[in-house]
Amino acid sequence: MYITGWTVALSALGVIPTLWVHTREFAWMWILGVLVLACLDAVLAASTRGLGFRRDVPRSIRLTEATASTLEVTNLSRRRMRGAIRDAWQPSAGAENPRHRYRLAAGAVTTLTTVLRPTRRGDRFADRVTIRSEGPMRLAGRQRSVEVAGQVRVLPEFAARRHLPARLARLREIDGSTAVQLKGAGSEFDSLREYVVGDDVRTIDWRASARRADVLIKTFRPERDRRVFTVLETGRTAAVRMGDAPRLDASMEAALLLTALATHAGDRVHVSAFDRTERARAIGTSGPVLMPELADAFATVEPVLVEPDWPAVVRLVQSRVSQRALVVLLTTVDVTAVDSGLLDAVEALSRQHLVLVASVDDPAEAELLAGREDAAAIYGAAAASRAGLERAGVEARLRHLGAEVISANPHELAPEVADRYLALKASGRM
Amino acid sequence: MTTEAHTRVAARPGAVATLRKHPLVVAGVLLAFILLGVLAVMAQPTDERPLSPANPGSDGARAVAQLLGEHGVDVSNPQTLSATNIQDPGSTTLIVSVPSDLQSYQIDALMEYPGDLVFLGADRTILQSLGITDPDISTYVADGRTDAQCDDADALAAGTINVTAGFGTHSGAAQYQACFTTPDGYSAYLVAPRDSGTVRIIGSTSIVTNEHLTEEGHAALALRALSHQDAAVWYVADIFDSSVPTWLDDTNDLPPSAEVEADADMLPPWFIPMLFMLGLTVLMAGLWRGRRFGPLVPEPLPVIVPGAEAVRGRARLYRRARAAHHAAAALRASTASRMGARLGVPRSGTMNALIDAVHSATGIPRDHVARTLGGPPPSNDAELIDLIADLDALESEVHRP
Repeated sequence: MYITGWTVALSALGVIPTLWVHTREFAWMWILGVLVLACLDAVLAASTRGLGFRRDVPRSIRLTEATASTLEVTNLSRRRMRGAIRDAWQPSAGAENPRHRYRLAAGAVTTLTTVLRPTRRGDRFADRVTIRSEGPMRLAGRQRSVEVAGQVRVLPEFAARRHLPARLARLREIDGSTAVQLKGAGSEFDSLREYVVGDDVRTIDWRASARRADVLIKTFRPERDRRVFTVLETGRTAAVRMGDAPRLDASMEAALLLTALATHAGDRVHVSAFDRTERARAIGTSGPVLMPELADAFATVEPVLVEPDWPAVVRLVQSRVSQRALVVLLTTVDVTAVDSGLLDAVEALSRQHLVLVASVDDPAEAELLAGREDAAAIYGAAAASRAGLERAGVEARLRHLGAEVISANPHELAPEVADRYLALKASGRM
Repeated sequence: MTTEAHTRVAARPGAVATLRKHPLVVAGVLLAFILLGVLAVMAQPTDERPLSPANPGSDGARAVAQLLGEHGVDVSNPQTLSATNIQDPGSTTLIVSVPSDLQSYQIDALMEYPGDLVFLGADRTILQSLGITDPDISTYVADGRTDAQCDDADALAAGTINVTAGFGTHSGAAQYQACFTTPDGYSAYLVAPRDSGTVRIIGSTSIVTNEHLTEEGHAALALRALSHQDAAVWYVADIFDSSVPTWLDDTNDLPPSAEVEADADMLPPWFIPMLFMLGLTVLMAGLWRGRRFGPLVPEPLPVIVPGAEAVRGRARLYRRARAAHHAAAALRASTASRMGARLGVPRSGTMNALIDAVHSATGIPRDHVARTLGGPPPSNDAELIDLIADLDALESEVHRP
């Protein structure tokens, strides 16, 4: 049962007769009368069982986009019904207008639309639908809640996709398919053509030139069908907040951009989210289906407060790819990497593969580094300096092991990784 | 048409079935109702103070108060002395029950009352202020049936009474009359006329109690002694009341004070009920707004690890340990590595190489650069702040385009 504002208004109306009847008993009687009327109204209200529900929600949307969940309400009773319906969702589902008024004749159907603007990645669930059925006097009514299942999968935002067109253009330049001829980049044999002045004399194919009267040169193109194995670390350090999102989200953006780019470049892409076990993966597919599959797999990945198992990552990579591959480790480079086994893992992987370690820098640390206000801020700057030095040391060791290292701010990591991938491709190091 | 069934609210079992399922709840509710009823009956406020005009018990005096009311005397019963607030002392009897509970300053104040004063019970201070130098008060008097033995009209009208307590007036003076004196010399009633008003003391208080009022001439004496005036203010002494009586003084020619204290009586009569009604309405509004439209929805919260936690922790450690030299070393090293990167000095290079590079790039004296980058470590916060200012200045010179 619930009461409406009209009941309160009716009790407030009791003030007028108190101007003439100066007793408290009258006030009590008035309120009691109003309450009895309200109870009567609730008894007279139609049963909440009279409404039937069907829900229709889009399966998935991208974070920061809005979608609509529709709730089809049917009056199954033989009475006219009116009142309100609350279509409750988890707070992070961002339901903008969960409350709806309804007025349904017997057998009538209406559709209530709740706009959802999710604020977090992952599966967002609908909670119960609460029905209020108002009585004929509109003083009170009945209220019940019912579970109407609903779920929407919120995919990663992939804000880095705005960097994709520029990278694809660069990829085409390397590929030689644009007007700007940059043949020669890459290491995979493409075709033979006649020598023109300005070509690199090292590319002259003497054997073919001997068979023909002309001097022929070999042209190359970037390697195709290479393997790119991206490991997204979801352990302890991935949970650290960078601004308002965890580090994992920045890594995920980089993984998505790299995957999109590598798929266009014709490489085979494996992606795995890993801490001590594999949390999500996207392998074996290529082409346009990969990106949706990857986004779907990543949607529910959350950081876990455990230390990542780097030897297991090495075993995972070795079991999945046998040829040389570009292994991208999206993790955190800090002084703990020495103990955690990251260095050993990079060393083990570098024997067969090319390793790229990409780390997200903490903007909070940069702020600390610039602190000069008082002694406390200067000690903060000193601590940040020390952390930076330690990180630089670890990065130097990683480079020494033959790995490529990138560390960048959350918003810059994805384009940096993409650029490095293109640079590696252009130089034929893959 | 879709074949998918509608989701509906589950049917509820009937009320009777629910009640049958939870007999304990039913029993509890019944018990609560019975308890509430008993409490409501018990909670009637009763006055149990002896000689109180509102006490219906055997030692109370409600019977006399009601009889006075029937005889046209307007009896009021203030709870404190200060609330007596007598408007017309000349025509108001001030009755005080159990004066032995009063403080002497309160009795002094009472004795100044310019009207009829009746004490139900005797007290040394009162008797002394009436001129009885050595009062002897007895709470028990044997063989109590006594005649008036004086020429007071009220006492003569009462005839005989049963004396159960009294006071001795051995050193009698002329300005009072003691009546109903027992053979032992204890009197039960005393009348002392004054310049304005008369003081009467009923020493044997059982006369006015509900239990003994009907005996002998008790009712006659009590009624006559208390009804000399048209109005009566009946105060029951309370040891927790420290106030003094108030009355309007005829002799006081000054106008009443201009300051008027706020009083509920000055508000219009509908004000309090209206406020009460509004209060109830607020309660209703609470019911209205307090009813939640469906349950709260829980949010599965993500793990939140604030950024740069370890760095902040290390900063606090530096600070607590006053490790200015450690902090300075870190700051110098990172500044040096940044400047080295800018000036092309390798990380593996010596400090001297960097100092030379900085000196040649900026023109800052070499010993200043050397002191800033590699001088003695600061020993306190102030020196650390100076050092970092030097480092920042140096770095901005190096990074100047």
